[in-house]
Amino acid sequence: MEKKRDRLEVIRDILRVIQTGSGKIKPTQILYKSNLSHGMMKDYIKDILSIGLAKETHSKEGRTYSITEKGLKYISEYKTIINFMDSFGLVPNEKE
Amino acid sequence: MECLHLIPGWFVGLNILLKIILLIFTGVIAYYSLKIYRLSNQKELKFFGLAFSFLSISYFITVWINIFFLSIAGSNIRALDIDDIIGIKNLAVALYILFYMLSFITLFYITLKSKNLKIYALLIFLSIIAITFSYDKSLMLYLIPSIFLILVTYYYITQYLASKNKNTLLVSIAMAVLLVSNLCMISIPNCILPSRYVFSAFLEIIAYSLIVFSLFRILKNGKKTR
Repeated sequence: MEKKRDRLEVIRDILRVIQTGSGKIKPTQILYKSNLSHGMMKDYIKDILSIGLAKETHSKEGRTYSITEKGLKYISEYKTIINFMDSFGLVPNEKE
Repeated sequence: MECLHLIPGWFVGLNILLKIILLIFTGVIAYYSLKIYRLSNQKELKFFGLAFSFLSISYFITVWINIFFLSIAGSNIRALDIDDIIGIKNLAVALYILFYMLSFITLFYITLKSKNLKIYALLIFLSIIAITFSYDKSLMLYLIPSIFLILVTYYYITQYLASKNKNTLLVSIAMAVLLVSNLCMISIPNCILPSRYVFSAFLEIIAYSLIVFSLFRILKNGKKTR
């Protein structure tokens, strides 16, 4: 029951890290601040980018991430998402 | 010709109004579910939104059926029946049955917590086969969703017992009321009690009002914590 909630929570935490990076944050900084393994962080970043919560930019400094409008909305609506899923019994399978 | 249900003449206008309210209620639930799905990409939200979208579509079709396709079955009694001739009326009734069934199949599929879409396809296929080849379509139309609703209600009760979430309790009650509403329709022997349709329609309104009330509480709580 807790695992998927963790996924949503981890996404929120990563987005908060990106948000505090004033528009440009490197993957190493996310890794350090989000307290995740490299593999897990890669998966979450892939997820975040596919949903459109953040965007990736390639520059001379390397890869950087910035939060999108949708990402900001995710942070502000996080509590509603969790409440909605809990209330309507939409908590996913533990095995997922 | 097969009769699906009888409606008292005096209730037809009110029934259209009630179904428009249900169309809006289920549409609102679907809208918020799909809106949250777009943010979180949680497949459970997608299916929940789909289930209520199907319900909303079925109520939309019901409104049209009530306006255009009810036949006179006696003094002050209207009937929804399936003609022997293939036409728009039969198509509308078939679509109504399809979307009504799909909504409860989808709700039940969510409770299975399965990632296997073959199970979902199998549930749809078996339900359609059962109703298509049934001699009593009226019975099957409400019996199949009732079976799914028994399991869905049980699921929500266990969810409530585990979480003690008041909104989940409201949803559990709503599903139980919806189940009774469907059971009322099953117990109509050969469409001879149109007043049961009225009772069932009011139970439906109560059930979806409870779900909308839960949604309202969730959104209100979300605004507070923002």
